[in-house]
Amino acid sequence: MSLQTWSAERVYEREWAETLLRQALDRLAEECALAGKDELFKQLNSHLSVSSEAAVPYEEMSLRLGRPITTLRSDVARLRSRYRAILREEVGGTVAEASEVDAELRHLCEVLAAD
Amino acid sequence: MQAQATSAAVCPECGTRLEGGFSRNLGRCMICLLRVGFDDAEEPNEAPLSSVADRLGNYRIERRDDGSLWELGRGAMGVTYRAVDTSLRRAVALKLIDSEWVKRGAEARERFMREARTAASLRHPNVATVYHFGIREENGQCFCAMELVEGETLEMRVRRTGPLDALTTIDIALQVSSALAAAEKQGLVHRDLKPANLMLVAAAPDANDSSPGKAEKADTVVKVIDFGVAKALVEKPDAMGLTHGGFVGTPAFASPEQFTDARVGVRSDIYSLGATLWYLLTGHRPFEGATIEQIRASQHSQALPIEQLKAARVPSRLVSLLVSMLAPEPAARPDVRALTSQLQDCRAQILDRWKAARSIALWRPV
Repeated sequence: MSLQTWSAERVYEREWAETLLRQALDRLAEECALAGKDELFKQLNSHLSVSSEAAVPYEEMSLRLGRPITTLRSDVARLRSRYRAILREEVGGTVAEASEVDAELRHLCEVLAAD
Repeated sequence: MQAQATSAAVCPECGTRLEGGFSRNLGRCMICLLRVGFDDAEEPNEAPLSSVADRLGNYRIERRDDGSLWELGRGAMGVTYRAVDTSLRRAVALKLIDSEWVKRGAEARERFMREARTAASLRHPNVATVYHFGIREENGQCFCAMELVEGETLEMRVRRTGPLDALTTIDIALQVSSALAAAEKQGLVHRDLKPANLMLVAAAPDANDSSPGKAEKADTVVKVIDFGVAKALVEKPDAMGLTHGGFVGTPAFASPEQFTDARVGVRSDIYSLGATLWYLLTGHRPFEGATIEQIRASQHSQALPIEQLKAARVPSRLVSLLVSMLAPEPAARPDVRALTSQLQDCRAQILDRWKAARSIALWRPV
């Protein structure tokens, strides 16, 4: 479906999802920079999405960063965990109850999937 | 034709076309980024899966009433289960591919994902959409989440009801041809077309249709499943050769070039479609054999058993078309456009004859 045919509500929902993700990713990048790990963040952020097979291979990153693969896996796990926490905080700020975060995330996924 | 990645940017995770500057800049779709936020999202370092676990990332394999995993089908490439995408609450068909990918290294995994992304970008009403391909790095488990198609395969249909009539077979072939045309535009080859990979889906019957085969046609919406799965698993980019990691596909429906290192293209799928139509019309495969070698030898040395088609009273024009689809040389087979046109001609001829026979019957004195 093209942008021209989206309803105003759909455009709003899409922009809303984009804002949430942008804020979460910016916060994560800032935290990494403050910890002096901005280069690590740049290299690892391709592993943020659900599975890692689509991202830059660990072997390649290991050579590039000079870190063992096992260490990189731990780095990715921590980065994902922190990203999840930040994203849930951002979404949590927009709903009445913390228990509604999953429902809101699911709603946004469904809206985007319907495009 | 060799598969090529589409020029449009797609999410490396799920193959969705990336719309909007934000997603394109990130190089990933927003859904995949949102999914990480779920409480039950999978951690990449969690314990490796056992041989079959009921959970794979965002997918949970459903269980039957007796507690067993809900298996939908089992083939040479793996087992397909009914599962749920827990983040989208959507039922899917989840194929767990039994392979040794983890031993093949990063290059093989990258190729798998590259082909998978191309497959996932194909959207067509006669193709079961591929939602997501993945490899678990921990154990090399490849998986593929696809649109769940509720229905029966054409293999099951023929086993249940016997061979199909010519008109129904042509209607099926036209739908598959339409899917192949869409795939060809994206440089995609199926490489494992066969009756078991074509699903019949329930559809509303046309109340104005009084032609023969009406009962069959009411439910002959076809969905091609597993598009791109075989290609993604090929050891070498242009070969399914016997000497390169084993044959991937189904020998009885595979084209001669699939047994060699020759390039595989849409005409290879047309050969497989020809073998599939043969099976639908007769209940037999054109070249039988217990082993790959026997089937290869039959393809090279034996003439097509045309008498099977004659016994099934297949119209001569359709017989000629099937023979051309099953030509040993790819160049001698019709391309998709020619195939569609000839199928339509065959269909029109059958309908004309039916109308003529009906008018004669109406004028026959009582």
